[in-house]
Amino acid sequence: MDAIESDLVIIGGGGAGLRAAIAAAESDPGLSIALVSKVVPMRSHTVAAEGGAAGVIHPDDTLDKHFEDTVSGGDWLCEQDVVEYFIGQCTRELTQLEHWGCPWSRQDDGNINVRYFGGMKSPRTWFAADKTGFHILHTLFQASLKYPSIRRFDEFFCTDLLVEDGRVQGVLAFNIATGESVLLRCKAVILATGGASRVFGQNTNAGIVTGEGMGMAYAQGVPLRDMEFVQWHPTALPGSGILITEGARGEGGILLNKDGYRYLQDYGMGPLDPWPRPRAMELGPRDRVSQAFWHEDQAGRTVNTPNGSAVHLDLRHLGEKKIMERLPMIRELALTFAATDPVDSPIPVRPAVHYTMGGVPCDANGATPLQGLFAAGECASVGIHGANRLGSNSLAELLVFGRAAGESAARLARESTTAPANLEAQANEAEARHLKMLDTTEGERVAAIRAEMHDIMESGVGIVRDAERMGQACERLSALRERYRRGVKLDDRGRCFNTEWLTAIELGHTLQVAEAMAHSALARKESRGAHLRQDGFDKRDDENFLCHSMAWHQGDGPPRIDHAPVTITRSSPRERIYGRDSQPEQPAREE
Amino acid sequence: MNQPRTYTRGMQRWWLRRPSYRFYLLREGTSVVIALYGLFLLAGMAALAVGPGAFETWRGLLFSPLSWLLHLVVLAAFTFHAWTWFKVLPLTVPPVKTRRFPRGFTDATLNRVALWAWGVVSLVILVAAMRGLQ
Amino acid sequence: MSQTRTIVIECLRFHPETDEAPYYQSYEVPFTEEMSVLEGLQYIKDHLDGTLTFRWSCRMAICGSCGCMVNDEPVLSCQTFLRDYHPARIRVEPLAHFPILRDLAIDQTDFLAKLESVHPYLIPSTGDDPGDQPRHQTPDQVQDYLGYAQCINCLLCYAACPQYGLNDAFTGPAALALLHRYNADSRDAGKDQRMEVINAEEGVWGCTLVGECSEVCPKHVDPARAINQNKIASTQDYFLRFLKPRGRR
Repeated sequence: MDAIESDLVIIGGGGAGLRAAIAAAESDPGLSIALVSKVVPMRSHTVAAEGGAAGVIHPDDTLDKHFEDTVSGGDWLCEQDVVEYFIGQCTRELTQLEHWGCPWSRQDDGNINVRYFGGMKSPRTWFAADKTGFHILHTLFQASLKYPSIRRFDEFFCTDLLVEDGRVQGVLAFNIATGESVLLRCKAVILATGGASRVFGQNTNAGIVTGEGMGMAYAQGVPLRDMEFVQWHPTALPGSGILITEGARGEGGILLNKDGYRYLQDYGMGPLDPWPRPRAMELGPRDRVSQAFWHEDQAGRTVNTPNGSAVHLDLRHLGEKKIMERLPMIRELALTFAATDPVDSPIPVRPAVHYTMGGVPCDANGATPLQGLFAAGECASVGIHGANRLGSNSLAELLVFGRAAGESAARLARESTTAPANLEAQANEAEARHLKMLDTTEGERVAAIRAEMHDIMESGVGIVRDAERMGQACERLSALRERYRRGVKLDDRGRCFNTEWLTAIELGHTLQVAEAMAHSALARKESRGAHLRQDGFDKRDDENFLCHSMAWHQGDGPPRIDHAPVTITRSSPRERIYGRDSQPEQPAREE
Repeated sequence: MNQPRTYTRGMQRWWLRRPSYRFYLLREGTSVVIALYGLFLLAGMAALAVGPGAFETWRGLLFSPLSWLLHLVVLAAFTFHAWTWFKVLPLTVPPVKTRRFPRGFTDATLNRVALWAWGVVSLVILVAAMRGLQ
Repeated sequence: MSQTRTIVIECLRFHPETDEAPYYQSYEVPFTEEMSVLEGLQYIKDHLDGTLTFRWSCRMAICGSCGCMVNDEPVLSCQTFLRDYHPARIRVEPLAHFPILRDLAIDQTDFLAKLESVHPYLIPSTGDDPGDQPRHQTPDQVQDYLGYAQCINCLLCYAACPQYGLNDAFTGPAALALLHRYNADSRDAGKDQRMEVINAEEGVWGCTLVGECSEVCPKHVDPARAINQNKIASTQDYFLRFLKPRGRR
């Protein structure tokens, strides 16, 4: 097995990984940095983010408002000290991107333009039309090319963290093109592998968002935190799950049921007027808007489409000019994938899984409980999203905490004096385990196991949950993991570019992440944010559950769940109020 | 680390792959005709330098029926080439959507303006040349 | 669900460990009205033949992974629909002009090197220090380069460019469009550094204006325009240097 020495290994080349790499390279140009990604960086899922990134810059906005929106949006499950740090850094990071060339949308005078997103008191979302993630990712990737100390390993698939003497000292990876293994030795690792939304079937996420980064840490005894909090984005195309940005509602789009009625007014987000106004109606938080869809669907007030039920997102009143200026990609997506021109007719939409609020727990420096391991971006649970992420906070998160993790990991790598450990035995053992899968002739196909997992999660751990269905999901997942262990049947037995084999390895991680989600959900006997129960636990219970869920890996068995305290500094839990009582402080649009 | 083995397909008869490639080759082909005609005119100049006899011989070549036919072919090639040249002309300026151009101005406008200018200039030259001949 | 029909997808196959040369293999794939070519390939991979290899990720035409040739046309397979070809069969091949790694996956390392060669990042002028404030840029100034900033690096333009196929030293459409994206940005002052790339034989002069790069671009980037604007810039640069041998550069 080839071995490559670097000071720092970053797994994942999306927004968080690239920002971390640049921060590490800038903080110490002498460090060698390996940026390892299973896809070429600009293919990473950051590219698909549409709406924008939050940063206080509007004259009516304040850091306090950003703090309040974030913490109340997260239903008080946020680490408030971390939120405090976060909101203070967002604008600086978005400005840094401007300095690197990001084409932010501007006001006529050349200043940065911002728009409303759901759950915001003031307009705070920096945007680059409706391709913000795309522009951020390409800007970061292109900026990263200036730093010679960043060595990229494009299309290398990481399978295992190698831990010796209680600290991470290496990573096992496979070069996808050749199937050869490589041992990446290092002094610190940053996980920037993104979320795990592909645990579910109906999904806004790219096919690569499979949670194996979380799985790798989990397998090494790092708990996964708050995994039951999965965000459904309220507006995705039925069937494909393709995302229609919240920015569409931020620009004034409305949601209608089959009777043409703006049903959100019936779910505590009204009254209708004035529209648009912040934190009301279609600009409610994502958990509430998605849950309202579920109730409308149960009541039979949704529209039938060939791909299941939907409601209508109506943009027609914005007019062609504004749609083309602010939402050009939405128009293109609707035309291509839903045969609908939003200029002339409403777009059918329904909720789809969008984001994993939970992940690998870490502090504001990205440091996880495992020595030498850092995490940033969606794979991390740094504590800013709580039980429901506010739109626009995730792009800001991967910049703020990508940088923080990059700088801290660089510091650790620089100061590290431990002699390199002997990792060969461990790496060889892991490699052998993966290679053995190539010999399996019996068992089920990858697709069969994956489809079963999707079915379990959609039916058992959906938008609205109860003990019975979650319990069934836990049992079925346990049985499914057993079937996976018995063997996955591969058609492809070669080493070169064997995506079937790598997908099978990936699926092993994804199944464990799914199990952590289901068990964490079952153990949370309350409703909070995106976790909504219907079996007598339909209220928030701050007495017993104002705490993080921690899922601990238990080998082949189901995870052990316990709970950990939440840091509350200056905002005590209150009722979350949107709509009528959220007091519009100024007209919604700045124009 | 080993480099993966790859397979590279050749470019055999690449112009057959897309109609636009054949159009492109036709366009480039007409420039050869133009170059050859340039050489022919140059030969006339050379003949003029050699003496009246040589020039008369060269001029004589112009009035054969074959020459008429060839001139028609050359005219067609010239016209086609000029047309394609003006067609791609907009590609040499910044996108017309940008502030450098008036509202409603498109590549087609630019193309049309250029074609008209070309037509007018050609006509002026033709008239002048005819006058000169009389 | 909409009605299911069947289409034959013929794929180019090449496995570097076992095949001397590529061959074609056909699959019968049931499809519905809204199924893309990518979903057809996924159906094959999941249910018929797990060895078929191709790249994909976002399935919404923004990540640039799934470019391939469908009936000799370079396309993103995620936004190309099977219904548009039925009842005829379709032939799916890897992007033209690139070395084939396996089946539909091409080797993109050459492109990545070219991307790096054009200095694709903002190079501000030496006196320009915006401090902790964003720079000003009017919507008009953004429009000057925004079109060229839409490139998703899907490589369809390279697969459409015979000049790149004939001589892969040519920097090529996407990389040169990206170069121009930064040159056209009001915040940038790196033109001089990039001029060397433009002027080189494998720079803009490697282009003979076939124009197909712009035709196939799924994001309407118009690389042909970026390149040909720079032929003028390169020519001007040549004469300026001739006139002012001890000029600014």
